[in-house]
Amino acid sequence: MLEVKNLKAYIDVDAGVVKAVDDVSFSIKAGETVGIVGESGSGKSVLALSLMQLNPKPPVFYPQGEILFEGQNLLTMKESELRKIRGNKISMIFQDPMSSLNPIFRIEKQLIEAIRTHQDLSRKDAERKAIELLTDVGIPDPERRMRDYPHQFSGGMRQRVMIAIALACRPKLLIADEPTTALDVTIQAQILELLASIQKKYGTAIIIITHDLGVVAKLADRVMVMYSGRIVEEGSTADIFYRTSMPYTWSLLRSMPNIGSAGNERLVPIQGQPPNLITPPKGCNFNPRCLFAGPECLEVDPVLAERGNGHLAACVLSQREFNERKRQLEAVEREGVRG
Amino acid sequence: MIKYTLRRLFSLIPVMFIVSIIVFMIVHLTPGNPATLILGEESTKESVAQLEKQLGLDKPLLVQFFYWLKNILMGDFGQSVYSSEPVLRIILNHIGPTFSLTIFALILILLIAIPTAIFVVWKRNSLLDPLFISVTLLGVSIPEFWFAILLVLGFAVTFPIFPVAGYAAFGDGVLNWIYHLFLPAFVLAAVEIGLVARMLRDGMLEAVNQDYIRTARAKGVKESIVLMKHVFSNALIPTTTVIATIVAGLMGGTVIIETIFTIPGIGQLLIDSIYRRDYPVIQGVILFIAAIYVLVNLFVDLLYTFLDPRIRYD
Ligand SMILES: Nc1ncnc2c1ncn2[C@@H]1O[C@H](COP(=O)(O)OP(=O)(O)O)[C@@H](O)[C@H]1O
Ligand SMILES: [Mg+2]
Repeated sequence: MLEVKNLKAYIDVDAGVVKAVDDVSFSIKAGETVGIVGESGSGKSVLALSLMQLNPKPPVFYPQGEILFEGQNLLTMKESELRKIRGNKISMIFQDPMSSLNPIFRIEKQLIEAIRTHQDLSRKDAERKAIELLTDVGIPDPERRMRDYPHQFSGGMRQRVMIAIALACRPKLLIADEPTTALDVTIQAQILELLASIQKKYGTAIIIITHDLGVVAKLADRVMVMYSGRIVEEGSTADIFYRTSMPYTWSLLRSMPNIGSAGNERLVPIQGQPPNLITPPKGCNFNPRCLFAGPECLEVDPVLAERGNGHLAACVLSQREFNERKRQLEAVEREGVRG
Repeated sequence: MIKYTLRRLFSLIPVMFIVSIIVFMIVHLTPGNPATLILGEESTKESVAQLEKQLGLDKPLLVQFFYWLKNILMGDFGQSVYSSEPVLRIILNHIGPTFSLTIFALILILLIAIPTAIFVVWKRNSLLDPLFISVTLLGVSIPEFWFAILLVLGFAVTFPIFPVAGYAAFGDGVLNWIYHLFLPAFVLAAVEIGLVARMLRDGMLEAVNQDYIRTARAKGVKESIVLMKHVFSNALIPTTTVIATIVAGLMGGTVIIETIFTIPGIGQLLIDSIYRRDYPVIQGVILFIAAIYVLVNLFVDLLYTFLDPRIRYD
């Protein structure tokens, strides 16, 4: 349904050109849930907005690539054609539900706008549809709440409204960019459940973008790990969590609580800073922070390579070498803790 | 909302009271005997005494003040010493032209500033924006009297499209009204258009990068509608205060323009009564202008609750 080929999204800034998305390829099948994880600043949002063609141009430009949605290339499509896809076939929800709704319009107006932009419905019918949508996303007393303004809703409720807006035209693909990051933990879980239930009910494909592997573990069938504008590992959720194939993903897993193994493990933050995307390091982008980096890593910029059945990783180390080094390192660290 | 409005109206009482003290003191702070000032140096003692009696100037100051205030509260602003007409009637006679001029100028300001601002924001990444900034800067620095005379020379003398001066009431035909008011209203508007358009542009440029605008685009809404509906209505909120200040200023009478175009409005009245040392009229006009400012401000505060639902006063 969606196929991204060698996409580059660069940003013109005073200091140079930020390679926010640098040669990314992947595809999304109808009805599947795909997670994109990576530290903040790794280019997840720019990638997501590329799929909607909503990056501000300038400063963002696309020097290379294709985004094929149902066979059509969004990069070369006319603005008027893109508008027919946005909010209709591909929808998006954003990180901050507090600021994502227009503060001076009633929820009703914002929902009906989403409906009537693509559907030829009378006001009455659109209103009825809006109530249905709000019910669907779990907003109690929708007839009354519809007449309220965004500031009268809590953060979680606003994100539900955003989801209702995104679902207004039953999109084939829903892009959720950090949809729970700004919310309380309990509310986060509710929103994730809602997304999962929508996926089940309507078979909507979902791209869930997050820096939180826990979110991905709950929701995604497949995961793409992003680092400095590139996909560095891709595979089924089980591949990523249990058959980790490269150092960045492994570091990311070690830096987060409650996933992977028993949960009695120590959290190890990733050392160093994400690389400068204007002048990335020579060789592998992760080499300055990588615990396994050897001399080769300063020269070779690894590309994604097959690690078995749809599992891809970008690292000069083979799976066997990586597992071996990992074991050694973990053994040394255990010694360190004991001694 | 009604409670808030009433509360605000009550809070106007002390403000207007202080204003009235100041207005009252005008007569007494001007050096010399007011009666002599009005009548001139060669007036006889008797006529001065008579006028003092008529104006109540022979009584103690405090008594004079409360007497004056009581009359005003009962709608009696005194009489013109020049024409003996009631001050209130004189002011009411002059409101029409000033009000006409205000409405006309306001329509011109909004009609030109709003589409200009929207267009500039639409083309925000082009050279239009720096050009716009320069033109608005130029616009706000035009001297009114100079621009008025220039327009009269151009469009009333060289090309006699409009009259050189004069005024026709709205009741005497809309076309005639427009015919007489176009040039003065245009001059008044010209100096404010830049300011309003600039405020709107700044507000819109701020709103255009907000998350909720991205949401609107993500719905597939046309960019022109995004700008006109979502961006503009958010930018209108900060601009309202500026527009209100302009309206209050215009309603208070525009001395220069009303004089150049001989429009019998509040500004003209104020100037004339100052020349005639017609203290009751001067006091009445100043009270009127103060009341306009206070009421326009109140109106704007109430308007905000309609423009911005986040503002609730109760
Ligand atoms: N409009 C923009 N102008 C300049 N730089 C930008 C812009 N948007 C994103 N960037 C830069 O692009 C990089 C990727 O950002 P982003 O996609 O937001 O990261 P993520 O969503 O993974 O946290 C960052 O270095 C960020 O500073
Ligand atoms: Mg982001």
